[in-house]
Amino acid sequence: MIRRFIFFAGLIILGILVQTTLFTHLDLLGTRPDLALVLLMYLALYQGATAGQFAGFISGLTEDVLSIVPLGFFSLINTIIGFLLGLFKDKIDVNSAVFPLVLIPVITVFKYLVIMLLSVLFSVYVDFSSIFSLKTILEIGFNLVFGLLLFMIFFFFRLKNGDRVSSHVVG
Amino acid sequence: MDPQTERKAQKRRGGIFALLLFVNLLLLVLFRVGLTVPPEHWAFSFLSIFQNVFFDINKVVDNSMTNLREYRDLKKNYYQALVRLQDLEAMEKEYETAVEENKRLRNQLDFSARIEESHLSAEIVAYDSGRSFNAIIINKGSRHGIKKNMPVIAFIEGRIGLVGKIRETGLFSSMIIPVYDSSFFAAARFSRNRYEGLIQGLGTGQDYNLMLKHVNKRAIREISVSDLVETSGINSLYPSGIAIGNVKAIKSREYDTSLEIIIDPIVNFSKLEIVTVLLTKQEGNP
Repeated sequence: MIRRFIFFAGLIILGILVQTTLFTHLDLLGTRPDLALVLLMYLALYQGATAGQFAGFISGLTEDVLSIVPLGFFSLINTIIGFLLGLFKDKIDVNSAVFPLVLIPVITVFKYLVIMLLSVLFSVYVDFSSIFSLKTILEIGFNLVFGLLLFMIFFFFRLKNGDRVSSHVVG
Repeated sequence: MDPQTERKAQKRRGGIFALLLFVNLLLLVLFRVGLTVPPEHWAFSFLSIFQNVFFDINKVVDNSMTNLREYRDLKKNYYQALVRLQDLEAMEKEYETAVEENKRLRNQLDFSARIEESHLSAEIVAYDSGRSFNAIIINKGSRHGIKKNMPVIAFIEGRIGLVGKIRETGLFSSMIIPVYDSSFFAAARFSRNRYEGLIQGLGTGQDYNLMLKHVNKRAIREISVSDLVETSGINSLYPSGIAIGNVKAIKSREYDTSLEIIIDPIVNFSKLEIVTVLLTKQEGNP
């Protein structure tokens, strides 16, 4: 469980580093995919609330350190997302393609709602003009493409490992 | 899992969640009351090492891809018996690149000579992870003498343009708040008629535009679209005379005593690769 969690948390941090450096080439109208969020969603849904909230906390802190925002900003958002999604472990069919198609837009919008709420509560400057623009829809599209891609990769590995994987999964 | 174990697991999950929420809120409250957490500086230094590595990997991959493409093109032309011509074209390309590079380097040298302040050039290695915030990360940090609040500029078509200011420094990297970020403010004035105002970023959602506020309404007869706005240097971190942008639109409301002017920044941020940090002495810095 711990090894698996460390692996996923490392993967999310790697995702953030890729997102802030290599993905700048994928910039479409100032929008990039939120790889860290998509990875966090998968981790929470596959591993449960405990791993989800820890991974959210660590990945959020990493984002905070590499961003203008104060420490605790993204870590709070990601902890909440990781915890809430983790509660749905074993309650929704993560092997269905409908899951990324529905959850990714919902979670992306949720993330921005919490960003706006926290920015008001803690007087953090947020680029609201960017949130209320076409870019948010573009980002959802980007996240969907990467979400479906990850969905296929994880689905392939689950099929390959069969029951061995599901027996290792602890909530 | 039996119901009792399940209940225990639920309690543990809830407890951990409450603890993490408390830690996050505590960090945010510390920020709200103006306290900074020292480990953030070290974490930034540590993580930015990886960002630099990724940037270098990216460069290597880019170069390799370019090399592969060139190799494929050469091979194709070889089979078409156009080796000689291809070689000449390749030489011509290299020559053009060299001329371009020469021109760019000469510009940089001229630029360096023109800046009176002590300064340091740096490459942009990363951008903020999210769209709602606009940090730019460069590959020079406190080890190179960069300190918080130092102005950052760039050389744009023969002019010195304002990029932003240093927000955070790591050992080998620094974080810039660009002028278009909504938390950015600077004292500014019109280059031609010296009317003064306060520049603020409008975020990326407004095409990187800026807003010049608090400009006296009397100025409306003397200013026009495309007028240059520069830093005024008054009570400011920024030396005077650094170009910020050109007037794009002028808004005048009857009930308002001042004008609101939309400014198109002089720096093209989508093409920006190299910036220069002015190593000025900052308040609170030795």
